[in-house]
Amino acid sequence: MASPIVRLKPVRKANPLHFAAHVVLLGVGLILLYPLFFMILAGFFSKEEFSMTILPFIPIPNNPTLMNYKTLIFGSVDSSTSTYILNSLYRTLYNTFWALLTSFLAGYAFARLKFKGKDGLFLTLLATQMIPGTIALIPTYLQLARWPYANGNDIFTGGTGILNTWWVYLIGGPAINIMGMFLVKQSLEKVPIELDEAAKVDGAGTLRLIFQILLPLQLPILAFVAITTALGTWNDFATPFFYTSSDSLQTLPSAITRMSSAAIGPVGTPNYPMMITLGLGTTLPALLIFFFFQKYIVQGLASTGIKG
Amino acid sequence: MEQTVPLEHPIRKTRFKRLLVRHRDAFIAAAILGPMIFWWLVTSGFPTLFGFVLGFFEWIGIQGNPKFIGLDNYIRFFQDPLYYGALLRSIWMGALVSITTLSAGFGAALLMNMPLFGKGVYRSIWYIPAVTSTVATTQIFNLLLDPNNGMINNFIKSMGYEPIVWQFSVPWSVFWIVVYSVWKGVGGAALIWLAGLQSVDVTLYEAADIDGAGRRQKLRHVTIPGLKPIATYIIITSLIGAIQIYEQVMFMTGGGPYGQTEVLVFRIYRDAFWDFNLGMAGASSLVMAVIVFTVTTIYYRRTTRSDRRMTIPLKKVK
Amino acid sequence: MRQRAMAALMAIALIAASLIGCSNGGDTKASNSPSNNTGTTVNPPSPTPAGSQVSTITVLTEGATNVGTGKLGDLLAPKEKELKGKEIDTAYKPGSVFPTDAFGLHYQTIMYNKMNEQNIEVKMEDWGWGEALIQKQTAGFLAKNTPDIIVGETQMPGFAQQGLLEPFPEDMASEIRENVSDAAWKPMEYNGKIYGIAAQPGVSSLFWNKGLVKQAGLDPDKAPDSWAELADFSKKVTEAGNGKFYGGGVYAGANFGGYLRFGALMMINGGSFATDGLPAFNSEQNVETVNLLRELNGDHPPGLMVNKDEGAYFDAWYKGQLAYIIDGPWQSQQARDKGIDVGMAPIPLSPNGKAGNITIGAAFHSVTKDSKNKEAAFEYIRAMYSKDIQQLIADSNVRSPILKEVAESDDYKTKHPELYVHYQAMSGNVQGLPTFAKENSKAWQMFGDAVVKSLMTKGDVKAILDDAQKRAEAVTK
Repeated sequence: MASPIVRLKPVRKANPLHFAAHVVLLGVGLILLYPLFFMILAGFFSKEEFSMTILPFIPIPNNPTLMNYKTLIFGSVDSSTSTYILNSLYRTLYNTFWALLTSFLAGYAFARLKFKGKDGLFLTLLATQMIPGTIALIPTYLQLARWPYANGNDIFTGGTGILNTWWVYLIGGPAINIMGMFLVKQSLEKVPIELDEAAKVDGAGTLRLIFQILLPLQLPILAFVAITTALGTWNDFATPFFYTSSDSLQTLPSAITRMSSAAIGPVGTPNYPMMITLGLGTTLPALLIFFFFQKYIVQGLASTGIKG
Repeated sequence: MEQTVPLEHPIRKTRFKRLLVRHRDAFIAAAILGPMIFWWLVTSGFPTLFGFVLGFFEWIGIQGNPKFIGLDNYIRFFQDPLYYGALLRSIWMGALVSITTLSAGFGAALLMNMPLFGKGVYRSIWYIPAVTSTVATTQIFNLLLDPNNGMINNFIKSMGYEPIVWQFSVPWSVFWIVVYSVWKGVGGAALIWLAGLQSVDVTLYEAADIDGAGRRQKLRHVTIPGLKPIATYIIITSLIGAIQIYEQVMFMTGGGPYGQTEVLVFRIYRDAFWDFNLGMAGASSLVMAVIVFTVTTIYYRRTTRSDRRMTIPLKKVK
Repeated sequence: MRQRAMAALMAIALIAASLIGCSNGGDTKASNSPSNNTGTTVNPPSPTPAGSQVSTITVLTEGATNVGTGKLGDLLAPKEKELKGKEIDTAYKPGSVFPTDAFGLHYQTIMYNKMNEQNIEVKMEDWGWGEALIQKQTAGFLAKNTPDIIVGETQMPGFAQQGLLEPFPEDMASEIRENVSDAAWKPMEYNGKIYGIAAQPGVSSLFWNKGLVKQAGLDPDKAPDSWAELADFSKKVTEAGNGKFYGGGVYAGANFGGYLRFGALMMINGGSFATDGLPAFNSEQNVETVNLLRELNGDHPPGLMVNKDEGAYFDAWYKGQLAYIIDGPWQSQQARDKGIDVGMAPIPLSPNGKAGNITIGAAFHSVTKDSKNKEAAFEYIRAMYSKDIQQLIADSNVRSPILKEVAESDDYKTKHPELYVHYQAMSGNVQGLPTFAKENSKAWQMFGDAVVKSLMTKGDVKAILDDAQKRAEAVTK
């Protein structure tokens, strides 16, 4: 695999090396896509046909049905799908906004300001990213349920706290986004400090320095932070599913999770084609986000100066 | 704060101002970081620590009250093969997943770094598995691997060989868990490597050309040193991610055969939700966190000895 | 400096943790002693007279009867519209058949009318099913945030044992004991009290694919009537199948899907999983049962009988690769949907065995300890075994009713002979899966793994079960 890492200038004429690269990237890429391809086809099977057929690698139904896709799009009972999509959208925008704000400001603080205990604080924050998330699930639930003075709570107990309210989604926003902070810090450290000094000589205040001079330079990495946060929020089914119950608060992935548990059902064989189609449904919007913004991911990361 | 002293007192004012000026950075930092870190502690730090604290308690069952038992949970962890065995498996399976994902991702990144037509499409195609739902895609793998009607065994049978009962062989079970994890992770790894390759200074290659360096020499003296920081980043993040995998284990092997593919996070999950044993779940999480932290720190210290400024983010970038 | 920051952080969290810990502890105690109830629970005693205030209860949905979430009254019309859109007939007259897809609508319409008469408003919530449901219920109990009526399958007896559920009032319990089939409530009986009921549970029966049995030269209408005969028939089918199809028997994977099904065989042979919450794996009866399983395993494609997923097992049955299986009553309809000519009979007995079974596919409904309106919640439970609901279940022809009055009527016997046989199997020695005193899932895993090992290796069954027993005793004590 030791092909050259030289950055070649784009050339028009056929290059055997390029041809080989195309073959490998496309070939392996198609293999990687195979499960998705299988899922799309499986969605056209009825539950009965799916379990009666010995499936070949490329499953083609004899009696194709649109039922699974209809269920995915129109929901099982009513048409709350638009609510789910809007909720997902609001959550995504909200979290992305806060992620951008906190990671940029915190990144600035750690990259440019001098204060005691900076390194210790920084490493402590980073260290927390290594803890398995499972551990916080139940304590978080308790915390939300015991939120002081909310929904019938006295100082801690009595009511349901902020469980099953919009606060479940809003509460996490203003907290520091540690990964984003790290990336912005890395990226900012690449910007020469002389720029700050020059700006100060020109009479720029701190706020102007931060927002008018440094911020525009950080757009690639902030784009990266935005995309990863948006993807993460969009795909997150656990928060809505676990901490809320009412229909009006569900997001697309959590509603789909509910529908798949109905497909597993109390007994008998799960409705595989339905589960698979629903799984496809969570993937698609995330895929779209990624498709449109993928070039910023590489650009953004390349700009962080994770570089010697 | 005696109110008899007016704030406009000249000496006070200058002192205060001097303090402000001398610690100007600290004040700004406190104003920026204070609220957001405080809020983070409330919403995220606190529940996690609460979970850890439970590790020192015996709390079995929902109605029972937690009972302080000191280190008993930790002693059990290191005596019971159910726990330390799961930890060891997490480590070696995690390492296997990481190494495979990273090397495959690196190979792909080298190719994607070429000036190919439609490379954006390739990046997207390779990345797609990362955004799919684990529940649904493990289901597809399970269908492929069904010992009786699975497509792979049907293929093997059509070639005239005996079908393989994948689920009752530890090596095969591990193999497929690794394959699934690589399938899901390789696109992301390739993207990060690609970013690394693109951040290597182009002028260094030009300089190497002038010096008449060959491909190998360029790889050795320009590319690899240039990639070192991103390598640190990606190796550590992928290790941390891989050591915590459990969904694919849960859905593909269920820890079987006979619990021989059970990993620690799956154990934690089951302790918390199936046995209501929040004490053991907390203790196991703490052990896990300490080990990941130690490994990361050691690795980080070693690789960044030459460049102290470099620091690493510790969560896998999706 | 780093240490200092860490120390400060720890200190803050510890203080906060102890605060929450205290409040949690105190709170738990309060709910344990009935005298110390909070104001909200002491509601007006019962909403009997018309015109009194409306009480609201929250109920979890469950697959078979799901019509959506929200106020029950608001859900029925849209559901009906949806069914009509799919051209499904939504008319129902008691005593006559109706399309299976309309079951949920009819069920909830009856429930709604019954609750409405008593000024009870029902709100449906969807907490998912299976793994996801258990997670949410666990957290909900911890935070004392549960609906008035929760629903679940194998996790429910455990909740009862932990004191999280409200026992049925005495008069209701004796009414149930007298009029309702055992399978509906026996699994939820603990210390002489009933903690839950399922409106349409199942027990396992033997099903066979008549086509395959015929190909083996056996009488397609004759059910094996002993274990020896089952093993013998199964072997004959396997020989006739020659690698294309197999005799089959029962799914025995190391999960609840397996325990619920081969558990029926254990009950028949007088064995058990546990006594008083402690493991009872290695009894002679269990060894005999596992020996039968081992014999049947030879009549399956390799690995199928203990596959991780029960789904794969039933897929093989639907694909016409297995001749015999043990499953719940729904299988008769599901197999027919897939074009299988299916026979159904009670599970054959072992030489010294007596009829026995395990409740399967039951959605147990229980009232939680934290419920704020227990009176109304019990009214809901009462409606579940009312004559109207049970008649509907009888007419559905998928499950058997649990109310003796309905099931033992001549009308039912003549209209649904197959399910009447199933109804009969729901009485007598029918149990639920036990919950172990401690580390429940670990003890089950040890048992399940031991059974799988007995099937997949040639080791001595007794020795394997002895070993599992020893290890399970260590964790459950």
